Amino acid sequence: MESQSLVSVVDDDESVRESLPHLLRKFGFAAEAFASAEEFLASEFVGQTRCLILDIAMPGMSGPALQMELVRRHQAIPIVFITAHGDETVRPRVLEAGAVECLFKPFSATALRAAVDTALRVA
Amino acid sequence: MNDELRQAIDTIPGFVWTALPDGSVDFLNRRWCDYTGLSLQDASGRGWQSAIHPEDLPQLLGYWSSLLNGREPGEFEARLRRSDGTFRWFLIRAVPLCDERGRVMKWYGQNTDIEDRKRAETLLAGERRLLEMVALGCELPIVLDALCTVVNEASSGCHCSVLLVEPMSATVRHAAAPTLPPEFTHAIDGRSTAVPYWGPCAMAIDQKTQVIVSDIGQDARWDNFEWCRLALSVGLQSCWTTPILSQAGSPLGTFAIYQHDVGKPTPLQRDLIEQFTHIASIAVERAQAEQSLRRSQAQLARAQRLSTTGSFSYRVATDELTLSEETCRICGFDTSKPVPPGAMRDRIHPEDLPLFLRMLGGVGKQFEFECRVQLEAGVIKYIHVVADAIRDDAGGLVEWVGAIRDVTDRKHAEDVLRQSEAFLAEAQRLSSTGSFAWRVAKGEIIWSHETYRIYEIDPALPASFDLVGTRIHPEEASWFQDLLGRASSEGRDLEFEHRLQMPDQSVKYLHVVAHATRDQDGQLEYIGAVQDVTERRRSEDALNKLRSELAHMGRVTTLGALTASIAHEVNQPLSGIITNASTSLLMLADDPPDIAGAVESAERTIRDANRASEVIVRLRALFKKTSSARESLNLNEATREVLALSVRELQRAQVMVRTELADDVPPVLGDRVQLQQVVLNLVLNAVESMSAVEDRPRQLVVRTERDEGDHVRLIVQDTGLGLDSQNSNRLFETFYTTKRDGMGVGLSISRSIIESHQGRLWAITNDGPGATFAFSIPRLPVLGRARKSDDPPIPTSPHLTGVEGAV
Repeated sequence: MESQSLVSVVDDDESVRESLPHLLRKFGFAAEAFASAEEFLASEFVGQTRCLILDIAMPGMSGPALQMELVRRHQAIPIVFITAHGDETVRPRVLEAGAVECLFKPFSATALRAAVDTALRVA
Repeated sequence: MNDELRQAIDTIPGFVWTALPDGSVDFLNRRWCDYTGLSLQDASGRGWQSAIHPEDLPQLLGYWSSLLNGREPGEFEARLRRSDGTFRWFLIRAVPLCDERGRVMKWYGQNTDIEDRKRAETLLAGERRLLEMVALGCELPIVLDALCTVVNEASSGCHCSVLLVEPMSATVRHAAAPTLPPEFTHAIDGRSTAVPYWGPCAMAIDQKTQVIVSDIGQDARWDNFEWCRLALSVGLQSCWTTPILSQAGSPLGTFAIYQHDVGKPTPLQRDLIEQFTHIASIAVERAQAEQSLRRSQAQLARAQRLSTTGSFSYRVATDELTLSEETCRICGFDTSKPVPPGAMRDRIHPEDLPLFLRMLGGVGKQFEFECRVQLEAGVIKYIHVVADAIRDDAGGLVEWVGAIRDVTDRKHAEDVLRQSEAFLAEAQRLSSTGSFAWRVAKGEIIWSHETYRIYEIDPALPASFDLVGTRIHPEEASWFQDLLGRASSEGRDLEFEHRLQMPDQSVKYLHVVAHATRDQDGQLEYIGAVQDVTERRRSEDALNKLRSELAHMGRVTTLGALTASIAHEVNQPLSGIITNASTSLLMLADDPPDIAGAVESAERTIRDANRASEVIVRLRALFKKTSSARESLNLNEATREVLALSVRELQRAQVMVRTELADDVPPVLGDRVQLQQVVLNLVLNAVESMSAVEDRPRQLVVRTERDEGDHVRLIVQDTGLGLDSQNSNRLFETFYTTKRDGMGVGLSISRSIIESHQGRLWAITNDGPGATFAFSIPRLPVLGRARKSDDPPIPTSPHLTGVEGAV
């Protein structure tokens, strides 16, 4: 199981943190969940993370801000953004900044799988 | 005296007489006696004095007395009466014979006939006097009267008359006839000179020849003529009339001599006639020339006065300035006195004096300038001066002759005009308003400077619609052409706004008003103003955009923000539900199925669903909290505010709005903002529904009315796409929308708001095109007996906000 890629989830919403890691593990990935960007950056998993599933709007550091911080740290982790706001303008913005995908909550398991697979291929 | 001597003395062809030292005559020779008809006896002593003309006698006697006293020889001229009663002039000479002691012993005398010489002298004197009168400019009738008198005296028995011709009417005017009876001269006055001749004078004038009627009574030419009878009746027997001809040969009148005797003119009389007819012609021509000179001078003076133009001449050599009457008047000089030398110069405004002197001292062919003259009391006039140089044969400048015109009024008018033009230009600049005139038939256009500035066109170019065409916004070019066509054919006043597209692609908005009028020839002419309203339009647009944004913002803050909030809050647990359910399914699909994991996932699903439910509860609570501002409100007013807020939007969408707000609508109890949101939502939906409509008017009717059961109804009716019958029952579902970009919650929330007001909201398809949305809410409950519908709003109270059950 050592070859399992680590997919980290950063979301302030408890429902997501509770549900997503289970599904990701079911897909065969290793999964860790964090309640904020700061918590993720402070963790030991930043370097091992092969794909980051990242909420956009969060208290404290936002998803795009974390994206910028990782670029600054030369941590090239493929990012799949997820958001509960139906704001269409955010998607092209984050994709342009280098994100692999941006999913609107609620999203299907298939869509998530496809996004993560893409991210891992990029990596 | 012996007989022989006496006989000799009597025979001498001359009058000889002797007198005693005391002067008494003691001898007169026969010729003297024969001439006077007096006998020697009668004439001796002082008897001779009866033959002397009474007018000459006193002087003669005085002179004779002085001779007697002085004992000196002497001579005297006096008239001596002939035996037939006529007087002739004689030169009377007397010489004393003295003794050796010097005492006078005897006087010897001799009379010589000097009648012919005397007559010639008299005529000469008369002629000289007449010519003097003519030269001095005596009145013509006086001169002619004197002329007749001279001739009458020179030729006894003659009665002279002068008639003058009236060239315009070809008639004669009586001018002078001092000794003819008035009834005769009056009868002649005004007679024609044409055939048949009224008398010989008319004939003489017409034929320019002398007419001699030696015997009026016998002359066949005037047999039975009125003139003939008239002449005979006043005792005239002959008439010799001679035309007075001008130097050019045209008849001026006649000089006629009448006599009480039949006869022809003697050679002497013929000479007289010739001589005095000539003098008469000189007098008449001179008088006519003077009259025409006076007339032309009077005309000139009047013309100068009327045209406020005076004349002047300036002799360079003598520095002599001659001013006409009008020039004097213009320059404030007394016209009755000569202008003293240098006075004109003193009147010239000091600042203009150098110019004035330079011009007068010039050497060119002519000059022209304007300068000021200072009158008394500080009055300043402007004069315009033009003059031509008059040169002598050698080409030397003799004098300047010119005209002076008073241009003060024109100057003042120019000043006022300049001032008002400047004022107008400034006003046009300040108000960004240009003016124009358009003479339609001639196609002439005149622009003010500001109009050029607004169009940003070089003021040097002549104004034209082609130039305007380069500025008209391309979208409005054909409209503008139509407008010009209509304007030129209908001639109505214009008022419109249009856009210009400037060369730098910036857009200007112009407001144009033009008044149609007719010029003197009845041709159509527009006079108008062009105002640059770009700034105003921009700020209006900005204001409208702001208003529109505010309206949208209001919509978004209440509806949009609410739905966004709902979406976000609900999406989170929904996301968890889907993820957990998916996980659960995957676990059940494992071989063997991971039942425990699936159960765990299902439990998480239930927990997320509960969370979603909590979100709804929380939102509902929030919604209730915001709907607490209930007040008494007039639905008409609230509706008007909404329409006022949306007027720009309605205009932009080219929607015609008809409001039918019933006056008797009672107040309702409600949340003003919420109800306005509903009305706005219905109006904007209607507008959107009509946006694609092109084949019929986009008409919006907003109506309020009393409804059954103490309700008030508001109806919004459009001519849009109408309701899809399949989907009309889904209209009010929360997320249902037919609009691609709509949130789909407007109607749903509107219904919620209305229902929270214990009312209902519904939609029906029109009989014609379009749909009608309506809501009905209860009127304000009448609380207590004193409260009336127009009383102040009821204060919000907690028990009235509790409307939860209705939602």
